[in-house]
Amino acid sequence: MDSNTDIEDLKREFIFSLRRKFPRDSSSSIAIMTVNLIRKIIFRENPRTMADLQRSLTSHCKRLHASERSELIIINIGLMISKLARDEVLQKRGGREPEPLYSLWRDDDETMERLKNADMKKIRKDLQASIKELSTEIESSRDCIASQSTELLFNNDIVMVHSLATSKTMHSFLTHAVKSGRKHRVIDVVDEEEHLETAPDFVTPIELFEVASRMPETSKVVLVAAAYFPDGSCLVPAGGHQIALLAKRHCVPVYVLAPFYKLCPFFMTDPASLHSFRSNTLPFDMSANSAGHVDCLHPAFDALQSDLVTLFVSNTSCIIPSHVNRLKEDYYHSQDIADF
Amino acid sequence: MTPPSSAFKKGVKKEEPPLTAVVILDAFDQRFAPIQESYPCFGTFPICNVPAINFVLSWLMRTEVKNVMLVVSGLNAEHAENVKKEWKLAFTEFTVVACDAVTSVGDCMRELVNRELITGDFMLISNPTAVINTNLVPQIQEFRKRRRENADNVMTLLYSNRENPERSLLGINWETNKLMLFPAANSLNQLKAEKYHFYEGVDIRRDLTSTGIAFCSRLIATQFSDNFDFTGIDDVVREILSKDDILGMSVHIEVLPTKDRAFYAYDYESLVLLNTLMLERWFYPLVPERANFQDPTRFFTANPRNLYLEEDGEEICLKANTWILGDQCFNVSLGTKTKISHLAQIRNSCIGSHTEISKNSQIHQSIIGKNCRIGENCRIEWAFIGDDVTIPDGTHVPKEAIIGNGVVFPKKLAGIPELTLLNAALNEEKFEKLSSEAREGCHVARFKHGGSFWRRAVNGKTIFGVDDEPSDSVGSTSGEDDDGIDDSTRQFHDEVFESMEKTLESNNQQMRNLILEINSSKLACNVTMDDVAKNVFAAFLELPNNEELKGTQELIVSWRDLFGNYYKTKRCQIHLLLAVEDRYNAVEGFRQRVPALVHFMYNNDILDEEGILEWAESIETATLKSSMQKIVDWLNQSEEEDEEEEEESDEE
Repeated sequence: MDSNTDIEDLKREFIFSLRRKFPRDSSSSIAIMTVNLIRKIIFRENPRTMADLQRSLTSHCKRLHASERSELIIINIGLMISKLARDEVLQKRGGREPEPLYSLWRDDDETMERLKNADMKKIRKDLQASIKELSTEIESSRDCIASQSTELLFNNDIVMVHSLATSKTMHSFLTHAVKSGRKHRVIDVVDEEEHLETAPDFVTPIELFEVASRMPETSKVVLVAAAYFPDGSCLVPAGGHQIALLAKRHCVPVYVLAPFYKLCPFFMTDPASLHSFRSNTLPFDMSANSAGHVDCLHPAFDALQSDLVTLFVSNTSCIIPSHVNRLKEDYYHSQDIADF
Repeated sequence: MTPPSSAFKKGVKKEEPPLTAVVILDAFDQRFAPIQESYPCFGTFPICNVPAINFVLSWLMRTEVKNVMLVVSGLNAEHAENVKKEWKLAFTEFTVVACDAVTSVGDCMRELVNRELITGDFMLISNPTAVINTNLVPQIQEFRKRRRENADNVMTLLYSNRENPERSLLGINWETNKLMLFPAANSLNQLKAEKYHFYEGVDIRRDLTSTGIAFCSRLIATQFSDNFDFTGIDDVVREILSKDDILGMSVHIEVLPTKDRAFYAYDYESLVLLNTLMLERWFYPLVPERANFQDPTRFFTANPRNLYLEEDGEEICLKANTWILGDQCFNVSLGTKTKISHLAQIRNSCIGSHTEISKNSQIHQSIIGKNCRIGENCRIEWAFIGDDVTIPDGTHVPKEAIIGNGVVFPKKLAGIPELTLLNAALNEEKFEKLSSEAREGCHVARFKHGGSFWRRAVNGKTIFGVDDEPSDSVGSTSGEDDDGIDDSTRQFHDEVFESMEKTLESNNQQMRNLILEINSSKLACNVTMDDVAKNVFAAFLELPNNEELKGTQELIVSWRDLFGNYYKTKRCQIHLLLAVEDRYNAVEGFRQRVPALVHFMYNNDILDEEGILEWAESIETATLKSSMQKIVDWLNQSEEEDEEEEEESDEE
């Protein structure tokens, strides 16, 4: 079996399964799919040195991401695995324990040399094991985030949430709080009218235009991140920006649920470049007259600046926006980021 | 492990096997001759620089369909194989069916039936540009429900909720969604409705657009093989409606809810429209940047104002967003390495790779191919431009122009509306309905019957529709412009004449085939038995062999089966004689041959005394009456003589 066509087929199948699903799958399952894909690719390609591995990971992730622009997770996972491999190499060589706190700068030449020529065969087993660990960590991240709800939501809180219908993490976050006996009220901002009826019974659904009138009574706002960046900014489902601005005006804290695999290690100078658009929302019969004359914008995400976010609720702990950069070092290696 | 793709689809009930999709990859329309060079296979035609078939397979992937049959004409089998290579992973079964020498959707279906590939209900996508944004779950359910209720609910046509560009009409029962009225092929915006239709709750709908998608039972496929002049699904619909009482089948219309969108392209006008709609993201999640698997090195970015850019896979990085067009541009799809001036104004258009557009040019509603050079101050609206085309500075390309590959646009031709320019003369044998003439170093192509290239229908008239021909040649369709009641009989006459000509030319003059063809023409034109009798013989008399009496006699003997089939009854024989009478009045040279001809046919048992006598009484033309008098007298005599024989021949 030609390993190259095999890998191409794997990648294609991955993209097919992403695109087949509409609406999109939950991000955690996409993350796990990506981990599995990369594990298989590494297994098939069987790179000899660390440099080979890094190169192949980069190119695969770049291409996969290029065909699915809105899925930054693919890049994140690729870089995480690359970092895992690095750590394994250094540990095997009996070098010092990798210290995330001090590796903000690039590796010195000696380490670089060692990494380049490291024989991947020896660490292969360990790498597979740590990749497996990564996927269990992703799987458990939803529960970890949910368990923190008790620390963040209190009795008599009035919580405004967004995109409850599409985010399973948000759902388990709220249900966990309810189960632990918190007596709080939940206001859900919904995008489409049909969600008004299908909302779970512990929430009061409202539409986006009502946010301003309900904000004064709200004590907490919880949003879901689609991606977050080292500078503390993040992407949230469209509509989140308005909610966050109103929350800031009324001094309501904004919590953003952010599992670690959504942390994108790049500083985004221009959030507009991440914009992905959805459908034209006008009724189709209007297209008979409007085609080519009307530009209907329907962005998928809003970019939130770091000053609008009070806390990121990651799976390990709650962190303030300015600490996200520090969190980055836990999961990524600066060399990988620089090389990407 | 990646979860298997099937794990997602649990909605499909066990007892109902999922539909098979039959996708026709070719468009059998000579209208598209100018683009054949670049895109011999219509399915590879780029909508927003993405081959159209990719969109179809993208949405099919999201439906319950697991088996796809890609039907393609033999010449384009290679393209289909490429598509299969890219897409086979998305479906459980992906078959390419290459059919040689097919000239219509009907031919493809017949081939499928012959090979016994259709085993159950199927989804027919008769056009490779059909796009839709849903997964069709409720629609397929509804189709199944109808099938369960009544096995005669054989077909459901899918329509989207949008006024269609051709303003065609439909009559639908508002309660059951049963299709009651369907326009004829040559007048899309006219329906013949009777009063009782309105008592039965028929809604006349003009606000619907066909999607090119139909859910069919196996019976539909056999309809094609039973009537081998059917070229498209429309013919089947007309057949079922016109023979409601005999076949007892019914067609239903499923209109998509307003939030769902669907469309397909059948001519240049609709191609440009589809391109615009696609750029405006009406069919999300079917959008250009998510539809490309064809070639793993092709990637698209979507930007605000619906600007799409195809990028080289190697150069993509997260932060790339340096691409800026002028403020005047929106809804544009650009191929790789295009050079566009910042001062150019491009709207609702698709530009192929490596094309250069200079400053102050305006391009609206157009599709432009690869490697083109467009000079300064040009103006291009509603145009289709092929590959390697050069448009000199300051040219105003006329609206609705189609410019083939490699043309250097001659400025002198700029004033002609609806221009179709080609680099080389058309192969008129291949495209028998087109002609081309050399002008200003290019070749101007046109339909021989004078129809429009750009649009399929003008004021609802498809002078001859996309669907109702390829087997006919020019002769049959030239006279169809004037509509009216006689139109169909006349068409029938022409078709019969043609079939006869063909039979005459063929080596073994198979009467069985000729009779089949005449029967199918009869159904297609919906003419009465009387008209059949009259016109078959009228056509027969016009055959070149019948200039002389001797030739006619020989032909009558050798075509005996034909006459035996159509002229058994007295009534039909009278109509035969009426045709003779018409001919007598019309053609002078024919006159003296009439008595001998009638006599000959009598001797050959084609005509009976009764018929001749009854007809002879009704003759109005005095000269004919007197020349027939001899035979009449003779017949009156012989009638008394051999009564017994006569009875026998009657029984036959």
